[in-house]
Amino acid sequence: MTGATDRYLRLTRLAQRAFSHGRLERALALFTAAEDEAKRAGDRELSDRAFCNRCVVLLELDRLDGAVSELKSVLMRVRDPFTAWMAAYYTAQVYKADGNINRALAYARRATELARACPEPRAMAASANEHGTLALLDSHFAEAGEQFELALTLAGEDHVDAIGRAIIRDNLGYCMMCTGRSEQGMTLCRDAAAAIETVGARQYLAEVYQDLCYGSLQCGDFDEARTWGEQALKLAHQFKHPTVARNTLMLLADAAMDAGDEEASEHYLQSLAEHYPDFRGMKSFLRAFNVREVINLKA
Amino acid sequence: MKGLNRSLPPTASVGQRVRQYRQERNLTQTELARQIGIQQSDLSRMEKGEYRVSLDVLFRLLQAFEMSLGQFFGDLVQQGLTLQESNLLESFRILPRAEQDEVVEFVEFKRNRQRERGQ
Repeated sequence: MTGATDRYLRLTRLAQRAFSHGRLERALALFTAAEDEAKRAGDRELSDRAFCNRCVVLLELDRLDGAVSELKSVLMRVRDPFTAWMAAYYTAQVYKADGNINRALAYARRATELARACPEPRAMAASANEHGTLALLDSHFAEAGEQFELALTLAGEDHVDAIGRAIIRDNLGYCMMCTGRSEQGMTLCRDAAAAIETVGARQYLAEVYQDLCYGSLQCGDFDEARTWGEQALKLAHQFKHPTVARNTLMLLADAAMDAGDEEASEHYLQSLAEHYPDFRGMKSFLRAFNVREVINLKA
Repeated sequence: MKGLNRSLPPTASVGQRVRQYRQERNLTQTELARQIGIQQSDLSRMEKGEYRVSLDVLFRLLQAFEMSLGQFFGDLVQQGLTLQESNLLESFRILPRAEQDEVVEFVEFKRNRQRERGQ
């Protein structure tokens, strides 16, 4: 990038301040003005950076979808590693929002590569977490685990808050459970639960307890699985997490069946069947087949 | 009784079933993926046993095949066994030979008593 004009720098600082105070429309207007200023100065690299800055706000406003072709163009032409990283990272975000996890993951992988060349440590931390999340959604558990481990290493207290770190830890724990390291995964998920309980953010606990229920089942501890599962189910209902509720009912039914408690398994299966009224044979199916190895609880 | 002796199908065998049923219905991966709301590449990975689905997608898949859930893993149905019979057979097969003989004797005893009552 060539030297930025004073006006560009001032507008960008004001935009960043507005953004950090949650004044998103104001931030958008200021980033747009900064981008215009960079274009006026004839500085392509700078206007590309300004455009990517604007995308940060567009993402928050849920208006990023129209920007994807320009983001890809920026990614192809830009030389500055941080701008290229932003372009790849936000392209991944657009595809993720569209539900195209496969393509989102491809751009997240590119962002991770670019982050290594960035002088900005936050780029690597953010990339690792996003890359891990997308790999997890796409059932690449080993790859996701590597990224979450990296994200945890980089997630210093100034970059990621206690809840964010706990969520990364929980995701890493689940990846370990899915790759044959259930005991280690349980330890991480227990740590994550303890951290979230300390902060008191109970809305995040349902998913962690669900993962602990799954991990306990993998370890063959059916009583512990039921304890975690019951807690997960209660919170899933309280905080309206229907996917967690359905997954947990399936896991609880598993735990009850594996423990030989037919009455409890009937109760959980009946509750699960009420979520899927079109599938009348579900109960007998789940009685016959343990499907937890083919289900991705995070998908 | 400890445990209900359920089958634990490996991801790979689920994928093989999906491919088999899709091909029997002359559906392409793209068509089936669209029906169940996932990417074709994900369905391809699922058929290879590399991709785990959500519970919702698993049930949508069964709906797309218009199969009862029990039919999905159709070996039991093909063999003409009920689930209970299949579980019993599975348990029987893992017993030592001497204990299998005891089970056979017990079943014969029960059959004889039933015959006697019938006379």
